[in-house]
Amino acid sequence: MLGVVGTTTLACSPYELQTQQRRPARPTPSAAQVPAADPDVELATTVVAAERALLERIEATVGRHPRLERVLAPAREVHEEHVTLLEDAVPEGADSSDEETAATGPPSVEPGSVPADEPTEPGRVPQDRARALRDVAAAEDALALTAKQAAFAAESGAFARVLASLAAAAAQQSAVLRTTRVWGGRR
Amino acid sequence: MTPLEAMQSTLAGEHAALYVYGVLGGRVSASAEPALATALRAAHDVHRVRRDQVTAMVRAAGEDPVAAAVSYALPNRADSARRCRRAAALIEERCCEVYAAMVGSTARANRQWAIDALTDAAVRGLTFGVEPTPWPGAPEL
Repeated sequence: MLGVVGTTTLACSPYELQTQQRRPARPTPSAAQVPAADPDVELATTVVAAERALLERIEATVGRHPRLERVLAPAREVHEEHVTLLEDAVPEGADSSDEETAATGPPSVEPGSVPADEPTEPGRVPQDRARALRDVAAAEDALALTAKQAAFAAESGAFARVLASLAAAAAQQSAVLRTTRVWGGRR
Repeated sequence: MTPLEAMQSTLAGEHAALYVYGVLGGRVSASAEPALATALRAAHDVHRVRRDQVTAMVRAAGEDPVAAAVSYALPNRADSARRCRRAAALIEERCCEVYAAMVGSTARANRQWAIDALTDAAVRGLTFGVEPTPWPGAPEL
């Protein structure tokens, strides 16, 4: 699995990457072998940071609304899988602090002035359960947009494919959460 | 896969999707299954637009667009609303795969088109019962 988007792939041409997709997974070389200037590493770092921010939001939401744990479990599993795959594409020491700040949403927003489609600040989970769920859905949309932009910009075709798929998965989660009743069942 | 091959493959997928949606639309009663009938019609319309868009992309790249086949095998018997829904789900899943391949083989505007089509198909598939997955269009991941 990781061979598709592992550390090797980011330094390969799209043609090589397409070829690799048809091969069985193989061990990838260490992260130190990835050229630091590879622009796709930066994209991977950005998307990983956005994924982690979303996972933190899910954790915070479940912490405040334990009854949402079952509803949010599938989303958590999806994003944990994304992070697992992408982390192999980010060399050790790659700084994601700037991207993480960007991925956590807009700067401080006054309570009550948050637009309906914008999630509240990550650490601030709405008291209303339905609103909290909508916030996670909005965060899924934001992640999908980040991943789509990264897919567009990626130099590696195979990595672009991975990021586009990731964006589609986030969009699916958003759609599911937006049609989920707050007590657990789909509409 | 070259960009042109990816676009031709996507176009072939759109031809197949259009055919299947046309058949499915004729087999689902709009009065008995109004939501499904509406969803099938909407999907047909979307894929018709996409077929035309990809046709234009192929022409812009200087090649003749691949032609539609006379007929296509349905994903299943499609003899009930449940099977029609499942057939539509399979079509969207297959479209996701060709769009994802096109993302990986193209750049700029054509890649952007494929990215958007992939997301749309992944979400549209939910309407027909597709289960959300971590990697729509890239199941081997």
